[in-house]
Amino acid sequence: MKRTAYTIRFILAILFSALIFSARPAAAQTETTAEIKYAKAFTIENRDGYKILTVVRPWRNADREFQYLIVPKGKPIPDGYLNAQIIQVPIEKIAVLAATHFAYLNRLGMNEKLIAVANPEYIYSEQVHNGVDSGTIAAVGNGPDINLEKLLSAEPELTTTFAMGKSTKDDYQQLIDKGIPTVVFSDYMEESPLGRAEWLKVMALFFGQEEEADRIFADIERRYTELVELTRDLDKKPKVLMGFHMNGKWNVPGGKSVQAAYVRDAGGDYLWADDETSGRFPLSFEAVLEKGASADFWFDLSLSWTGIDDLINSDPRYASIQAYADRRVFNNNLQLSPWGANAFNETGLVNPDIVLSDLIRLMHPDLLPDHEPVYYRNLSADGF
Amino acid sequence: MASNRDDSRSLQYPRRWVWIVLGAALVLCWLADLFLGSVRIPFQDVIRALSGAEGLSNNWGVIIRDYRLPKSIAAMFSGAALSVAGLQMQTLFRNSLADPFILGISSGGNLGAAIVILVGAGGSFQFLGKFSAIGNLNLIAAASLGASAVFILVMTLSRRVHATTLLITGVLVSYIVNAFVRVLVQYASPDAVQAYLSWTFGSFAGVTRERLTVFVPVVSLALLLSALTIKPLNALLLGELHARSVGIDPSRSRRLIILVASILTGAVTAYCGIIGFIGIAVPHLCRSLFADSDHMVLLPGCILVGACVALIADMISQVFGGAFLLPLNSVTALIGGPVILFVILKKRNLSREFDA
Repeated sequence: MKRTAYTIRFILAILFSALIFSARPAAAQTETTAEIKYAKAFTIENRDGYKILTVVRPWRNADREFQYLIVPKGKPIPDGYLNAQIIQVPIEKIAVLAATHFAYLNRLGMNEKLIAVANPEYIYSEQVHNGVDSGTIAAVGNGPDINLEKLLSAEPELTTTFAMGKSTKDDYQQLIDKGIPTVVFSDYMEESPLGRAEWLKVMALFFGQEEEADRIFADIERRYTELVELTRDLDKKPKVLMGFHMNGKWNVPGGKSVQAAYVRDAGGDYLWADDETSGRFPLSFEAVLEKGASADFWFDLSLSWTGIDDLINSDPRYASIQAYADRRVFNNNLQLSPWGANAFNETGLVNPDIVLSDLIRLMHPDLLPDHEPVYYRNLSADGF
Repeated sequence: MASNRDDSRSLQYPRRWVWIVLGAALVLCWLADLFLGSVRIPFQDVIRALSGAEGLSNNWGVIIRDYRLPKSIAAMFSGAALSVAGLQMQTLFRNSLADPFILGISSGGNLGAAIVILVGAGGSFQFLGKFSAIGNLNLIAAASLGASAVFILVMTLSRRVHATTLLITGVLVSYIVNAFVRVLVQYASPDAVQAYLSWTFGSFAGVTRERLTVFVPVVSLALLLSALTIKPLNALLLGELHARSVGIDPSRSRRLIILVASILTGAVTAYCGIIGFIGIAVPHLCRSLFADSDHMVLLPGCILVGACVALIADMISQVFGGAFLLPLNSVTALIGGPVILFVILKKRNLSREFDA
């Protein structure tokens, strides 16, 4: 009955649209696209009574999309979306299978909805750590190899995961088959810090927190763009090197990576800024030594290095880099939890304005004299 | 054996040329490894860097003196060490498939490295690091420790059991170690897994000048000791009975061979990771190059050819530079594989190599 009514209304709507507004057929519907300004890996469409979330770039070179209908509990589920998963919101129980997803949950203040995590040792939050220890939050395995039985028995209404595509390790299909709505998060595909933070808006959909997310993100965006204004017209931009080598191979962040964007926005001259890679690319140690010889600043080294000795014990040849001689080597692991998780990867993800402030404070101290770095430590501690 | 001696005498003239060519090739490969890399450095600047000139632009002095020079020396010594160890294992077990890793020494090194990388750099097993010094131990020390542990096991066993049993022991040790490593990998962070993987790919680039001061003396000593294994190896080729008849104690010489081969393999594994293929391919290459099975010829031959092959492999893995930095193990197998296949197919019957 209901369906017939819908169909009739639908046909009528089309007819009227075609007849009257033939030039602008969409105008008859209450359809808007949520404003997503920086993120490129997802879209959100607002429809009458429901929303459509589409993860358009679920992984690198993906040949498929993931579509989700976000329907308020008690509202009818719209027809015609055969390939979409249905998420009835607000949800009360969520499982996150990557530590970064927790960052969004945390920023929205929705911590108490978390009932299961994978790889809890990468989560910085002490609250989650204690929850896992006391058993109120289930630890459901590691990385892509999750413990499905444990996850199922935690009875999540929604699971967030990530996927690499074409991998037997990807778990999303298995989860979907078990009847758990599963969102493939691909925040790491974003090329800008703001784009990555904007995934807040995705997490917010599941809890009816869209307005809160918009407000938080608008604040972040305002502060971030103000900071970018500060550095825009600087004439002197220090040269920046990032990363470290393993057995002669140096994984250099690409020119289109989030790291490169941070350096650019903080008024730095990233040595590989012209590169077109969005992830990382490998270079030989000698190639980096050559180009990096004159680097003024050196950021983001091995997670486990907390002092300059760690760097030199690992490889004394690092000493030939100018930034080392100038004591301008900074690692983003100022806040490490006792179990080794880095706050930079958690709260840093959803506070890009603070990360940017850190970097500006390090490279252009005059611009932000009062800011104390939150995420960055000087590896040669007396250099500040 | 006697017939081989005759052969070698009749081939005296060309044989000398083989040595000269090999010696020249080694020098050439070494120089080429210094001059070629992913960074293009003009000829005269390389010379200036080597002569100790300071103030070269773009860190070139550091690249040549602290990167390429130690890397090339590490390559030479590793290539020589693995080839000699491979030759010794092939003769000891009279098996053309034997390689330096067959005793499980490198598996021990692998385990040590895996624990340090996978546990130390974050992961569920971090509590292990808290209990002991494991977390703070450096990679080389851990790999050496692991290799030594297996080495002690093998040496103890070698007094009691037959050579074939040792072979099986080595293989089983590898399986056990690999199983354990897989557990560690499962629970390690992606960064740590990548670091560990890149260690198993093998590389000479991690060897700094400071590290050479230990690596070179250890390998040199073991290579010198390997001269003592020449007679026993030749005798073993003829079988234990014959060995006894010429006054060689097969059990004692077996232990000596295992000792030397273990030091060689253990040192290379600890400093450069697991470098495959050279140890199995170079001895075969030498046998066909010299058309001889006398270890008096094969052993020095393996040192020279092994060093050259390692240098060439390093060069190829580096010279493409940029995005095409190749894993050393892939280079050795990709380049060496077809060569050795060609040699083997040409000879048809390899088992005859171990008959005198």
